[in-house]
Amino acid sequence: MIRILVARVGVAIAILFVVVTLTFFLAHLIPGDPATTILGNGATQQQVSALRHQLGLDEPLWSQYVKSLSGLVHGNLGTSVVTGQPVVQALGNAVPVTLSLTFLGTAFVLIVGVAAGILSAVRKGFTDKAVRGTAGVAMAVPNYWLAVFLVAIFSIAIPLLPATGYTDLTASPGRWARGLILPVVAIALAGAAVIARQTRSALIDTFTRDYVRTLRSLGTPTHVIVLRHGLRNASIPIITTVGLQFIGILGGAVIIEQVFALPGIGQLTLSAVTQHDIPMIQGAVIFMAVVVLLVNIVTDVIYVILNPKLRHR
Amino acid sequence: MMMPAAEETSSVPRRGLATRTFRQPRACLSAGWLVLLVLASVILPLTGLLHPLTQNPAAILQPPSSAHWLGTDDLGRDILARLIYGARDALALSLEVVAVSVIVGAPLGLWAGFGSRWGDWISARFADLMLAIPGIIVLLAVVTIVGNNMPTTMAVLGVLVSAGIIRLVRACTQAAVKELYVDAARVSGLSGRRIAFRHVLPNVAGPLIVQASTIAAISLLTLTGLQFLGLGPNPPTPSWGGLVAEASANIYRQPWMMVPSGLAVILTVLAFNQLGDALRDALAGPGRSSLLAPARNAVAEASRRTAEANRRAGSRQPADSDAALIVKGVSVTAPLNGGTVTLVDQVNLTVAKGETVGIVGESGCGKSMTALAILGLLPSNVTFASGAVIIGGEDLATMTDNQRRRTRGTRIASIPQEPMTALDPNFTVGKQLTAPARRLLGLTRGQAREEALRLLHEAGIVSPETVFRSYPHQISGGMAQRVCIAQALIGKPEVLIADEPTTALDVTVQAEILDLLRGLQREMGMAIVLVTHDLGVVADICDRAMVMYAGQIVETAQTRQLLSTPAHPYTLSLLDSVPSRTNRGTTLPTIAGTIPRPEKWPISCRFADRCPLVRDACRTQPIPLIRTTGGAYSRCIRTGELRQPGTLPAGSELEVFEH
Repeated sequence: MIRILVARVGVAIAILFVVVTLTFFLAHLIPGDPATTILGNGATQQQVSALRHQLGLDEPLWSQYVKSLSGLVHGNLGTSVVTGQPVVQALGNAVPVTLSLTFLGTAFVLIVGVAAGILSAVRKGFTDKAVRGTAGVAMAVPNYWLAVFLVAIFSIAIPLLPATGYTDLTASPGRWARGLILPVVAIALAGAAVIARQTRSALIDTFTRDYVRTLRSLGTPTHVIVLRHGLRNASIPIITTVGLQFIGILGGAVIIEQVFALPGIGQLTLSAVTQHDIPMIQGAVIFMAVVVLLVNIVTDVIYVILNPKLRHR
Repeated sequence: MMMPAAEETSSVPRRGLATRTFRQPRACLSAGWLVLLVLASVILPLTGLLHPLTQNPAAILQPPSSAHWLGTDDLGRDILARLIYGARDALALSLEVVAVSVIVGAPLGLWAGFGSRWGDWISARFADLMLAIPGIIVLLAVVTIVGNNMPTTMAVLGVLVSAGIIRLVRACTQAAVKELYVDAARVSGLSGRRIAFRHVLPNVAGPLIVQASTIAAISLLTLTGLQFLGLGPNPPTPSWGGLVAEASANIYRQPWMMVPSGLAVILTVLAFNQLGDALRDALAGPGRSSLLAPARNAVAEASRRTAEANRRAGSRQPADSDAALIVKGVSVTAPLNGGTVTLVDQVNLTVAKGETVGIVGESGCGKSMTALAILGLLPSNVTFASGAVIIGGEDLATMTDNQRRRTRGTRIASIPQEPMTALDPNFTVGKQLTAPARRLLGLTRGQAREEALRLLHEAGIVSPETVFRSYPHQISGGMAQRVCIAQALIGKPEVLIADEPTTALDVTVQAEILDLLRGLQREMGMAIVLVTHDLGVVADICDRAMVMYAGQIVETAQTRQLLSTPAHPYTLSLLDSVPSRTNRGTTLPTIAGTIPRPEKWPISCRFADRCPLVRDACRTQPIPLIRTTGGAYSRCIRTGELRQPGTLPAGSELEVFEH
């Protein structure tokens, strides 16, 4: 177990190193000079070269690379070329928003997806068809369209929930939750459909296993077979997919935060893109990579915990 | 020389695949929608009828009308025209992603799949990297570099999603390389590249198209998402994502605008997904070949007439007031091509307390179905058509599902055929014993543990503590069967059904398990029904035996009598095909032919086609079970003319093969 964990962390660090390197060099492919971008077109040559020196842009590329790496190790991701704010600080303000959205979204995917999958697998006939049909359509609905649609229904037609804005969890848990209901549904419905399909097929596969016949021959009630043995068996493929869904939701946050005006990493990235704020984009990419790699390690560990054949060789 | 044959095998399933895919309505509908989109986006600009940029200040934000089928936007532009002009980008760029991902992914996957360690390493690390960041973030970074250049951005998306293609092609190639014909091609001197193109790619094609349809769907969603964020073509130019953004800006004034743009994306993504699903289903199963329909009517008729013949002949099974299990006239049916076939036909069986009765026959004779029917655990597509299963004076067949469930474990239990798969791999042996013990016996956690350890000990396990803590994959097959026996005995059942309990085990373990069962039966006095194809097992443990053929009982007798003086030609053939002292060193006779499929069972004697003693009379009427000597029954009109087993006369019609 410990050995697997150490190996996974090692691979993650290696990947992170590659991501950092790639983003650093890609950023330098971008035409245009950050100093000019910051100072605007009216700046004199002197002002530009002074700023270039201040930002370290006049040093050789490799020296800049080494500096950015050592900065990263010390938790320094540079400063925004637009606002002058340290990137780490800007990210720090945005992280709670995005993590609220993605973790609630993943919880929605898991709870709704597994529940729908169980329903579909256990109830044959109409219920099964209805769940499968709904899941098929839900997978095709774009999250940005669903977001606007939900706002049209639940904020405009029936004014139940706020259409935009974010309240901090510590400020008011109730308003925090209310503000996140629509974004979470919009971001997670398609993923829930994927999990529902997978849960259904994994459960149906379980029901054909010999050991289910054994359980039934011992008079085991159906709900015990489904919830204990079926779900346990289905949890192994489901956990892998949930990990992938989390990554998808993290990406979806870019769009959904825009629709609901949530000041998260996605919005930060998008405005950085339109303003050519390279350090900010680099910071966002590195942050995303760290989160994804952490989630991958956690899913790998859960995978091993759930699978006795891997745990007890 | 190998080539033509190999090409034959790879091209035949492909030809059927397209047919099987487009036989499904959803595939046709999906393909139809995509073709319609392509045609509209090609033809409309040629006609010059509707223009996406023509503004009409007199008609802004209109709902659908005859002039503007899908209404107009806030500048009075026709929404239908804007959708159709936007379709070109949506489709072309999605296909670009598919093309890039296949061009990048397929060669890497092939390289890795052909067993190159370098290829394997590089493609695995590539996939790790591609999955490390959400795709849209990478695309945003690309947009920063290249500007609003969607073809380039989508090419990068193609590279990102190629990780999935690599994984798929690698797996398919590895599978194909294991196939014999690739070896043959290699032996005949074909180069790696030619093998890849002629043998591997055709097999990868199907799954690859399925994956490609998923990628097309993801690409369209991603592309329109970027367009929605304003990263698509610049404002006056229509794009699907941009149309949704425009609609959301006007959501208070004209909510209708959400519908056309949303539907266009949803329907197209749905079409890609449904095409993929249809193809996947077509790949999964070749269509079921249709079987002769009239046959099933013949069988239903046969079943009815046999029942009638039985009644007329007055045949009755030995009845005993001491009976633990009485099975009366049990029939089991299954659906076939819209009708039903009878798999088990009017089976009667009585087992006394402490008695062991064997059900013997070849595979496909209905013996396992009979056992499952007694347990009430028939597969979901199989029906318990008629009959009674009486234990302790109560008929299990007339109970509700819940009542019947409550009889299991305490009145009736079973021992599985494959002990290794009969235990849930995710739970320890201990958990799988204590859970039923607590439920069936109402024990506490500690008591259940004591009981489980006692039962494991009873079942002949030397170190119960160790086994209790083990997972199923950590114990041997024989050990697993002992665990299963311990499990079956938790509720002290009156009747134990054992379906081929030793078939999956080593010969030495087989004898131990049979000994164990015999000992436990002596101690606990339960009735055992033992299903087996092995007459040796019958001789070893059964008091009586019932021989089944093609869903019917053909003979029942005390074991000794059945083995020494069989009363049915089928029993005799079974005995002759068992290796023994008398036929050692000679060729071993086998029974010519196999059990016919259930839909082909005749009204008359079902063994007639394989019987050396067959006469015309055997083929005209249903044959009832006839009482012979010593309380035995046989379903044969020539039962008196049978010879002794092991004395094969010269010129016998039994076919003789070299063993």
